[in-house]
Formats: sequence, structure tokens, C-alpha cells
Amino acid sequence: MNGALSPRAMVFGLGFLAATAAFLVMANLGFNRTMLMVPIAGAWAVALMGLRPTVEKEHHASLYFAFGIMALMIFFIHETYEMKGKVRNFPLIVGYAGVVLSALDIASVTETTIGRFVTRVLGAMLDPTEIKQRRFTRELVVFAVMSLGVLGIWLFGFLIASPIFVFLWVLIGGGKSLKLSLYVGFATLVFIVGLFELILKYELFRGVVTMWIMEMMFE
Amino acid sequence: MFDVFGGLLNALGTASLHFLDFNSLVFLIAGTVCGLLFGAIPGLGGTTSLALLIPLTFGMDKADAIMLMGGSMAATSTGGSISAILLNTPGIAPNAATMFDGFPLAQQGRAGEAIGAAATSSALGGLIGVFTLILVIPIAKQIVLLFSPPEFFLLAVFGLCAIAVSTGTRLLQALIAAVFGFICAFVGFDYVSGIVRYHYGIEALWDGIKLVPALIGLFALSQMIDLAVEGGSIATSTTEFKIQRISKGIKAVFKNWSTMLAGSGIGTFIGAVPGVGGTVAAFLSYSTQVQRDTDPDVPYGQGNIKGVIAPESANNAKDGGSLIPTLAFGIPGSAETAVFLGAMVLHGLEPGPRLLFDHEDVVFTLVLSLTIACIIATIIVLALAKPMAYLTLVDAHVLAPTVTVVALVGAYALQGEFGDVVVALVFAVIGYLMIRFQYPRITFTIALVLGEITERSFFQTMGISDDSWAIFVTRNVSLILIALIIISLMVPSLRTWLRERRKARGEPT
Repeated sequence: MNGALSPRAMVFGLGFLAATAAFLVMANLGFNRTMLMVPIAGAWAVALMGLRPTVEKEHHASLYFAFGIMALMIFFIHETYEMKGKVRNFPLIVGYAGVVLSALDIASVTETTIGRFVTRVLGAMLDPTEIKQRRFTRELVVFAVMSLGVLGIWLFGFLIASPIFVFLWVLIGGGKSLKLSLYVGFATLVFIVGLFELILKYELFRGVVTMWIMEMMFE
Repeated sequence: MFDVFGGLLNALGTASLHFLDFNSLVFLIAGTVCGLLFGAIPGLGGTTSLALLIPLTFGMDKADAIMLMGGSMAATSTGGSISAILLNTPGIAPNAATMFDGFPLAQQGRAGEAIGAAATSSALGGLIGVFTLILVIPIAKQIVLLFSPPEFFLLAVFGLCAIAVSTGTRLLQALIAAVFGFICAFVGFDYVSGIVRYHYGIEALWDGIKLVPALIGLFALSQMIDLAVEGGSIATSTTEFKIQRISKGIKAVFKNWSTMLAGSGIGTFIGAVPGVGGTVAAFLSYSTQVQRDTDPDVPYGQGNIKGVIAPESANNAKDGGSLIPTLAFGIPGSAETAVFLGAMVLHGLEPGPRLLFDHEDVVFTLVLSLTIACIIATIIVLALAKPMAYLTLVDAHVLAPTVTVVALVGAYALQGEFGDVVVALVFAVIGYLMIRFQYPRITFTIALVLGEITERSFFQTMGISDDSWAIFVTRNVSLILIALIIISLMVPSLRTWLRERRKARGEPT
């Protein structure tokens, strides 16, 4: 990685330009938004594959994330152009600034001359003490557990789902004893009922299934 | 001058009436206890505490809400010193400097002395910071009168740039986070044009992204995801805590009053610079103390009590300092004050320069809350240091699900809409990704909170100038602000250049 672009990177660069040209031509010919996604996705894939070899392996995830952000910025600009008049001016300024910044961000992740320049001048260095090697599967499990917790709350309400969620997390996720897990689950229930329902007088969400059962019982 | 300070005393008098109410005092004490606990438990911190407290303030009187949250803000760093001294693990980042001498003191069986000194210097530092804030408010009011829409707009941009620069080596990512924050702020009803934007047919987005569930997700839930992904205990220790001779620590602060005064001065000054925060204040105060004290009785790093007093007085004094830009100009000085601004928005208080004029009573209620909370926090720490110390050993797998549930209930309770729980979850994932890929959340939050005001200022500026950008360079205050923006953006390059020059000369970098 001496900073010079490899022939492979050049090929991918040209591929990216070709996809961009295809997008512009198709946009001028009046293709709809869904069809325009094809060259956009192509350009993204080509750019990602082209840039991957210029990025250290432990920074690949940062590269994907930076690409995701740039996609979001472009999508935002596209949506802003749907608005008419002066009201779109400020969002457009923000959107274009975002595209430029995210392009620089992508460059900063690469081990190229441009990347090193951006890192030096704009300060985009990843703090080595903060880089934690996290297992992707573990992150997915935590996201899934949180989402299941929210789903459980939607189905059965806070009063039923919350203590069960806490109990299962402490028992299975934390590997704690059954007694401690039960205690923490129960304590959480007492806390939320005591604070939110009794003291603050909020009526907590009962859950769609619970409400349905209650309705059936009272009918 | 007499009028200015007469008005100040009048506002202080009105605000102090709130403290005669028993319920209000209970809220202040509750906030203080909450801040102490969240500060003491490593991995939580003051921002999480504030994010969780916001929903509880819904339906409360403005003053009570401010007292609850002010109490928490003032007490966090006092709580954080306990785990720094006893476990060598800072409760929050600014307490890291306290570890250098606090932990060696604890190892020598002088933990009580260190905690006594930390709590007392925290209280005195906090009081000095708040006193400075009181003195600065009348001056800030005069400066604010010079501002109009172009200056408000540039001030917001400057605030974001200054905070982005202060994030260290991640200026670019901090700016991207700010852009993303603005994008989120644009969602929903636009008060300028009267249209609803970027809602994609989702009814819940018509009113925009609700600040409270977003803040809960961004700070409380994302922190829990991070804890859960990391796993294990936050702090591991089986040591029996021996906490004795607290009074010796209290006396040490008064004996070394110049150390405490210098630390408080540094803390207040650093706090007033947007984004620099308590960590820099504490470390700067510690290193200044080490340099000042050329012939120490005990070497620094081996249990010198002055090494506890200097950082602790600085990191509490910064609270008062950081409220100067927050209250005077609407630019939060730290992540905590950014979340605090979010809470103010919830209570119908628009952050920005008008706050000092329109809601002076609220400003002084906050000032008094910080003052009293500093004292209450110190009394609690001095009385209950030992049981609080055991709390710091709580396991991540017990803490994460419990805080998660409380955060989700808080997100829902605010308006009784389940959609808010989903918003909190979405922002939890966004917040976690920002932690993971090192995109500072503070600039995102500030842009989210200030987005509407910034856009309105821009629109008004363009209206005044007939769409001419020249308005920004034909006004003195605007020009000063533009110069400050440019200078702040040049800081990283300047830093690199200086480092490389020193390296080339063979000097330490």
C-alpha cells in the first residue's frame, strides 16, 4: 500500500464512472426512480469492490458504513428536490455538504495518498484505543434481543413483557442464577409499576394480545 | 450597572421561591441521587441519567423539571469520583484524572480521605463555577442584544464546528454527524413553509422526530447495547472497601485552597468553551497542579491529595462554565447540556439567546439547583460513600436489561404512543453504530435540537437580505463569527502541522 492506485482500482474507478454516466443518461430519458436504482446500485457495488483493496481489513466495516452514509445523503438530496421554492434551499445546502463530507470520509478510510491527506488535514483518524474488535454475530444477537423485547411489549404490554425480558436476559444472557434472575425481573416490575403507574399516574401500554384477551373476557 | 445587577438579584429572588416548596426540593434531591448513582456506576454517566429523567418531567411544572435535571447534572461527576478512587475505574470520563492519585491513596488505606477531599473540592468547585455563571449572565445579555438572524445562524454553525473540532481526531465524522442531525431535524412539519416533509406516509413522522424518544435511544439504549455487546462486569473487584477518616480529606481541601481555586478557575474557563468538556478540564487542572508544585511532599501518581483536589474541583466547576454558552447563546457546551436543551424544548422553552430575556426565572432556577445540588451531593457522598461503593460493582448483564426496560417505558410514557418506543429503538441502533464507528453523538444531538432554529434563522436572513449572501460579510458580528468558524476548522491541520514540526525537531509530541 504505497498510495498509488493499482490497475484493479483504476478498472473499478472507470466502472464507477460508467455507472454514473448510465444513471445520468437514464435520468434524462425519464426512467422512473425504481429503474434508476439499478445504475446506482451498480455504481455502489463497483466503488465498494474497487476501494476494498485500499482499505485495511479491520476498517472494512467502517468503509461500508461510510458508503451507507453517503447513500443516505444522496437519497436526502433527491427527496429534497421534490420540494418546490425557497424552502428547499437550506436542506439542499446541508445535503450537498453531507455528500462532500461523506466522500471525504470514504477517502479517509483508504490507505491512499488522498486518504492520508484527508486524515492529516481534516482529522479523521480512528482512535486506536477506541477500536474494539466486536463480533458481528454478538451485535446481531443483542439487536435481535432488543427488538424481540419491543415486540414482546407490543404483544403483551409492559407489565407482562418487561419482567420476562429482564428475567431471560439476566438468566440466559448473563448466565446468572435463577434466584437472582427472578429477583431482578420482579424488582424491575415493582419499579416501573411503582414509579410510572402509581406515582406518575401514567397508564402503561397493555399489549395488543392482552387487550384482545381482556375484551374477549369482558364480552 | 446598578440596574443590571438589581435585575439579577430580583431574578434570583423569584427563582429562590421555588426552593421553599417541599415537593420541588424532593425533585431536586431525587435528581441529585439519580446523578450520583449514574455517575458512580461506570458505563452509565450523566447523559444516560438525563435521558431517562426527561420522560418523568412530562406534566411537571417547568421549575420542578429544571430542578430534577439540574440536580442530576450537578451530581454526576461527584458520584464518578467514588469508583475512580476505589476501583481505579472512572464513573465518567472526567473522573479519569482523579484515579492517578485517588486510587494509590485507597491502596494505602486512605480511601476515606480521598473521597472526603474529592467530594468537598467537587462542591466548592461547583459553587465557584455557578457563581461565575451568575456574574457572566448580565454581561451575556448585553452581548446577545447585538445578534439578529444572520448572527444566530452563524452562531449555530460556529457552535457545531467548535464542538466538532473538540472531538479530537474525528472532525470529519463529527461534521457528518451534525449533517445527519440536521436531516433528522428536517423531518415533519416545517414551520417556515407550513408543509410536511420527509414523512413517507408515516403519520408518526408528521410532527417530526420526537426529541425525547430519540435522545433516550441515542444515549440510554445505545449505551446499553454497547454494554451488552461488550459483556462482562463493568468493574471487577472483590476488595473490601475501607472508608475512614473522611474529615481529614475535607480539611485537606481547605488547607490546599489555592489548588482548589486554580482547579475551579480552569474548570469554569474550559467549561465555557463549547464541547471541550470536563475531561480536558480535569486533566489540564491536574497537569497544571503537577507543574506548579515543584517540590511535592508525596510524588504525584503515588497518592498526593492535591492530585485529587485539582481535577475534582475542575470537573465540577465546568458545569457552571458549560452553561454559559448553553443559556446565553443556545449552544450546548457538552453532551449533557445538549440533552438538557432537549428537555427544555419539551417544556416549551426555546433554546437560544432569547432565553435569558424571556425565561430569566428558569435560568436562575437552574443556577440555584446546581448550587444546592452540589452541596446535597457532597453531603450524600460523605455520609453514604461505603454503600455507594458497592453499587459500582453491579454486573453489566443485570444493569443492561433493567435500564433498557426503564428507558423503553420512559419513551412510551411521555405521550402514550407505542410509535415512540420504536423511535427509541431505531435511535438506539443509530447511537450504537455511531459509538462503534466513532461518529460523535454530541454534534448529532446539537443539530437535532437546534435544527429548526437554525433553519428559521437562515430563512429569515435570506428574507432580510433579499436572497443575498453578502449579508453575512457586511456585518461586524457576522464577520467575527465567520472568522471563528474558519479558525476552528483549521485547528486540526494546525495541530498536525505543529506535531510534525516538533517531530522533525526531535521534540516530544
